[in-house]
Amino acid sequence: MDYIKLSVIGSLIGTISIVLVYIYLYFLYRERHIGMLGLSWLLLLSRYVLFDSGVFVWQQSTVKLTIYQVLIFSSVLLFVGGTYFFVNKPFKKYWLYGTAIIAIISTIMNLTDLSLICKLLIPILFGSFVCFWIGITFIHLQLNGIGPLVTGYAYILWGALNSVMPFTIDMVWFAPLGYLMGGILRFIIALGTLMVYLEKTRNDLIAKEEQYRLLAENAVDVIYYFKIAPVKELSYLSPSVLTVTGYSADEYYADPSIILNLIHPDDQSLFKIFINNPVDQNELPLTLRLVRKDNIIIWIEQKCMAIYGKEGKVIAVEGIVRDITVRKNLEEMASMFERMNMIGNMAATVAHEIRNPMTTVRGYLQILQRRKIYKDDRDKFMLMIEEIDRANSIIQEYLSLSRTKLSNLQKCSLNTIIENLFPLIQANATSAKICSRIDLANIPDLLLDKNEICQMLLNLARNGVEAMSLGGNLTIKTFTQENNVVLAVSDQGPGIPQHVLDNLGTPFITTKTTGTGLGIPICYQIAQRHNAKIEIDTGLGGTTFFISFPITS
Amino acid sequence: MSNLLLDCPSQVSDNCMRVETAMNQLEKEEIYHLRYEIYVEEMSKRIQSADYKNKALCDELDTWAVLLYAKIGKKIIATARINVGTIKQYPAKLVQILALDKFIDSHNGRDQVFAYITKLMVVPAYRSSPALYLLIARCYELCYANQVHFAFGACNLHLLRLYEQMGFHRYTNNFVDPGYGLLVPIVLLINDVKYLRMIRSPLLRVARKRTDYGLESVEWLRALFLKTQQTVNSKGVNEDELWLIVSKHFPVPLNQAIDLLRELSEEEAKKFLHSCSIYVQCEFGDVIVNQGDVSYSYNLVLSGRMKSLTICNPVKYYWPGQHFGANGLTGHNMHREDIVADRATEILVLSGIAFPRFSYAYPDIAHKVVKTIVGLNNHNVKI
Repeated sequence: MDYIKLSVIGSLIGTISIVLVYIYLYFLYRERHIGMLGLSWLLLLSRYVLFDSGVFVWQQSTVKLTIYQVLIFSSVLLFVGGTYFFVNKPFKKYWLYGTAIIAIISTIMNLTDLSLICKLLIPILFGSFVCFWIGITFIHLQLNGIGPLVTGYAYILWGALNSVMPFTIDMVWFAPLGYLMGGILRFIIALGTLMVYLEKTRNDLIAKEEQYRLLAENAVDVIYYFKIAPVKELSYLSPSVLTVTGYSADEYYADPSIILNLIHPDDQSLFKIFINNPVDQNELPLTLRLVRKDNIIIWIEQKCMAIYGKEGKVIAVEGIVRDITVRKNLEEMASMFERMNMIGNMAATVAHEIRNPMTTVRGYLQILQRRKIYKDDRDKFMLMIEEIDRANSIIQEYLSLSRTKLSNLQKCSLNTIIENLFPLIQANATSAKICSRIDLANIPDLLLDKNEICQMLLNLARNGVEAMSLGGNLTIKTFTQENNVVLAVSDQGPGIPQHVLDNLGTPFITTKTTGTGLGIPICYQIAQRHNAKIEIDTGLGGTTFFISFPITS
Repeated sequence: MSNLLLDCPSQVSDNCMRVETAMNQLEKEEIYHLRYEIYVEEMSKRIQSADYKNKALCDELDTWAVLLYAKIGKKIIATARINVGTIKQYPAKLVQILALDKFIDSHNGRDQVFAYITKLMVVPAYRSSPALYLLIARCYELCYANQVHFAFGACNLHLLRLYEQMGFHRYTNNFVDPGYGLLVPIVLLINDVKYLRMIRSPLLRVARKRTDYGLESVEWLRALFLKTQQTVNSKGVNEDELWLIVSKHFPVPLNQAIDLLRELSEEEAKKFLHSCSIYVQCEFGDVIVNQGDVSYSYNLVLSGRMKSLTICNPVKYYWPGQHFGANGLTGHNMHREDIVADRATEILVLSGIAFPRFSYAYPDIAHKVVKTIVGLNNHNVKI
């Protein structure tokens, strides 16, 4: 065996080692760029095996020469693509156009009588150029370690070697040296690529770990991880536990039973049910009260997930604990306002409605008392009329109290009222499997009674939710139109039936079996007290209530 | 809301009721407050110029108006405002709405004085008392004293009958005053004593004392406006004429075409319509009913078409024979919709102000009407 063959074999070993490295990495990580680079090396290897080693005699055949060049171009293009994906940059299309142009020129040259060297010059120089480009790309890679430098310089040297090969191939002393150096460089590239890949993966992992750590440590909610098997142990607790409960994470690590003492006495039973079987309790969030270190009672909501071991047994639970005291207070306040307003407005509406039949009764009493047959009973009629008048004056007083609400109008933001109330609306909607959202435009402040607007919103939102028994979206929008601010509450229910639409706003008309029929009449009253107008758009696709508030200067 | 039947005091003596002119600021403020109570609190009118903080209602015309009020003891029970001035003194917009420039005669030119009577109101408990008459009579005397030939005014549809009974005429297009709703311009011909006598106007008691009235302005106005008008004056038609005018809009008898009349015989229906209704012509775009206002009438479409601005999809129309708006005939309910004339439309307005008087005169007919309305309401509630 001569030196040249030995050198070729050495070169082949170098290339095979690279291919094997890439195949291994690809099957390990399934990364696209590894697959592409592996394929490019495989094409290069096939070129060496089939053509350079002398299996095929290709130098004199135009077709075989063209196939040889196509292998070069394909592998070069795959090198470029793989490198782009490796450095997380988008592939530039000009590489495709450039390669196509060069391939066409080479093919044309293959048809001429030019020497082999001339015909191979362009593909070889192109390959060298790509090697330089890849080398520079690696050198400039922002990565710790020497992997990128080793790989980069190896590519550059390999490119340089390739570029002088056409001119030195006939030098007897240089050919084996050239093949040997090529093999060594490819081997270095293989090792360097492996180093770069491992360094990059390590860096990515560190960055991700840092990211998740910061996420957990900066989270407002408390994140925990509790091992159940083989030994029960609190493995992780995010630092926010100090803000929420008043005890630091270290105190919990030292004595995990602290949590048992924090649970409000009235909620102990709930918590015991949870800790006895945390996995079965994870469908709905557990809501309970904690007595903080400073004796302040807070509301928390916790949701956990079970972690299963290989045998299918629960080995740990991880979850989130959220302080929902503000939300809970808001819910209670809104609920109280709603009850108070609802009762007040219902009473006012009912009082108003009572006056109509009373008017009729009084009218008849007045007419009847004039009849001769009732002459002796006139004083009784007078008494009845006086009593109705008294009842009427009581209602009048009551209604005038209701009207004094006008003086509660204050300049405020409708959007803020909606935003404050939205968690409550959202909670109601979610429990009915309805998706709710708000879409608030930039609108001027208005003269509003906050409590009444809350009640109107709740009435309309509840109507919307109840209209969507099959699910759908509830949307609350605000926008300006002409000289008005419009509040729009839309549902995707089946629309308001015609007979209800004809009497909409009339008290006691309802489609619901449990409804009072006062929700919309109360909305009308509230709108009227705000100088607002209600408009309705209803159909099979849903219903929208538009409430237009005049913009006040 | 209060109702005439409910709040009418059993006895009111003319002797204890005094009509006076507000001379000082205190009296004026009391009047502004009374206006607020009636317009904003009772009628639920949404008037932008109202002073909600101090509960007062006044405007620029008050600065040069004569403010009258009726008083029982120390309590103001009614008020009216009269402005007497030349066309230059009135706001340009008002001149245009009332078409005042068309009333200038060649003799007096722009120095001719006109009266404008507004903000005439009585507290609910005294609406059947002579308070209203006394105030209008005082206005009439003021017009006479100032050589006014034409006294103008503007009123809501349900009050038209009342003013036509006094002797006022409709003469031009309706207009919308924001907050006050659709208003009908009306004019009283101060010198038309003959007409006051013909319709048995209560103002005749004051007018008949005059001997020096000239009839030129009357003849001139009749030629200019009233003869060419299609208006059906409630005092200008008898029961049968009104029945014919209304019936011509329907191919079937009226008590079949209109739900409210279905329990009434033809004779009863004629009496009811003649005693309580006003025939009104509306132009395209006239907003007849305003959401949130208290209803004082029961409105029926006779011809044309009304459209709801509140229920915009599907578009809700009201066709001839249909009732629109809230019932204000037998009770005072709040309108839930804005309703507009979708084209030139004729409507019949059954006045809740006239109905109590009708109930005294014809209790059996009134009973049937009440029964029908209660039945219609119950039907709605049970749906």
